Amino acid sequence: MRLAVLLALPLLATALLGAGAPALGRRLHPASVVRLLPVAGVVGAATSGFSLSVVALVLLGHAADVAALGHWSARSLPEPGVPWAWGLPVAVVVAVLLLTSTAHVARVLAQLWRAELACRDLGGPGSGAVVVVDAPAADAYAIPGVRGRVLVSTGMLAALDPAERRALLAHERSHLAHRHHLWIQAAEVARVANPLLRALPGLVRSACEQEADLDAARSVRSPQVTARAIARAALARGTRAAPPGLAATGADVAERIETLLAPAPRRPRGAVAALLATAVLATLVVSLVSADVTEDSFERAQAAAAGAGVEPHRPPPRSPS
Amino acid sequence: MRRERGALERAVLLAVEESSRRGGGALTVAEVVAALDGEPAYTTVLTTLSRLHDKGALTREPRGRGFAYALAAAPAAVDAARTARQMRRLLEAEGRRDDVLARFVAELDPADATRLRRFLSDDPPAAGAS
Repeated sequence: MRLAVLLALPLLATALLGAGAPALGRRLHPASVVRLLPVAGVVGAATSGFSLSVVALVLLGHAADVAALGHWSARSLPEPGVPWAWGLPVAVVVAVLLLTSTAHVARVLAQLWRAELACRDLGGPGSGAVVVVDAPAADAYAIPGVRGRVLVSTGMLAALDPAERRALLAHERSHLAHRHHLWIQAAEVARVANPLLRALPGLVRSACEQEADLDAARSVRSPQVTARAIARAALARGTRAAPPGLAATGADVAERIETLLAPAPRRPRGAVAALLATAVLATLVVSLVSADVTEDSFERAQAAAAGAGVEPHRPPPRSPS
Repeated sequence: MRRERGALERAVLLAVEESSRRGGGALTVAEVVAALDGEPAYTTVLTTLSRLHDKGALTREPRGRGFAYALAAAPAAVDAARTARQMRRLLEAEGRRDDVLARFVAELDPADATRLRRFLSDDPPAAGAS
């Protein structure tokens, strides 16, 4: 059945993306991972979610009550080969994913807005301005915003020598300049909307750290200085009391240092990136076609119901298209 | 070595700030030059210091044949209360609190701390193989 194939393809593509993402993360340049994986994830989550909702709709459409409500002939709908009641759990899954991802998007938007307000409150000119906070605890982070800010505590500045400080600031400015927070959050939304993509956010976070580390190394013209800055900053920040697990944000420090000092020989992976981009585009097209086919079959089923007089009520007249 | 004007200004401010934090007091141009990486030209630093003084970021007092420069106000003291409140608001935001903040380094595992100390005590990069 044509529709079944069209609906299955996005689900398959998303499952493949979820399974292959770690390999892509290793092969692609960090800059490509940062941008391609979130786009692929959002497209995968959206199209597979759409496929699932069409499956639920077609299955439930075979229920007599639903068919009467929608003024269509159940027999003229694509034949699923399973009882219509199977549509119920699918519909529940779709509803839960839709609700949780909507709630997640709302939460992320609220966080970004809070960060934006903080940036405005901190004031100062331009993007990437540094705010030094007089605090003994060593900490440094970028606050995203239209004009993002880099917050550094005096405790952190004291832990680094001048070159290392420049590396730290260049790293945080790189996050702001590349708008890493948006890519990371897009990957998080994809993960919430489709659990198959749960590996994506971690990979994108790691790639963001790597890209910022590379930018910092370029800015201070030394991977060694950048690696030292990371090591010193991490030691100054301290070891975590809580057991590891939930706090897995971004690449782990030791790994970042190793990557900086002994970068894997990266050949240009333009072909892999182009293949991924093509697959994303193809999935999008397949999903659009499946939407078209679905709409057609429901229209035919409504026309069949109207023609056969199965329905006491006549469907609203449709303009021929 | 070329670098943008803003970068040099920030580096100069950091140097002056650190001196005052360590109780070192005001710095002369030569002292600022010495504190900076990459051996910037004396005149470049002098120009930068004068510009920062014109902007009101630095104060200066005569010393020797030139001036010694100090911070007009500690960066955090300018608006410390508001900054502290902002930081708290960001850090205490409910749920995944620093999700949109890009932290420079995460907290360490104790095992990693040992590795990093070894790296900083100038083990060659090959130590990464461990």
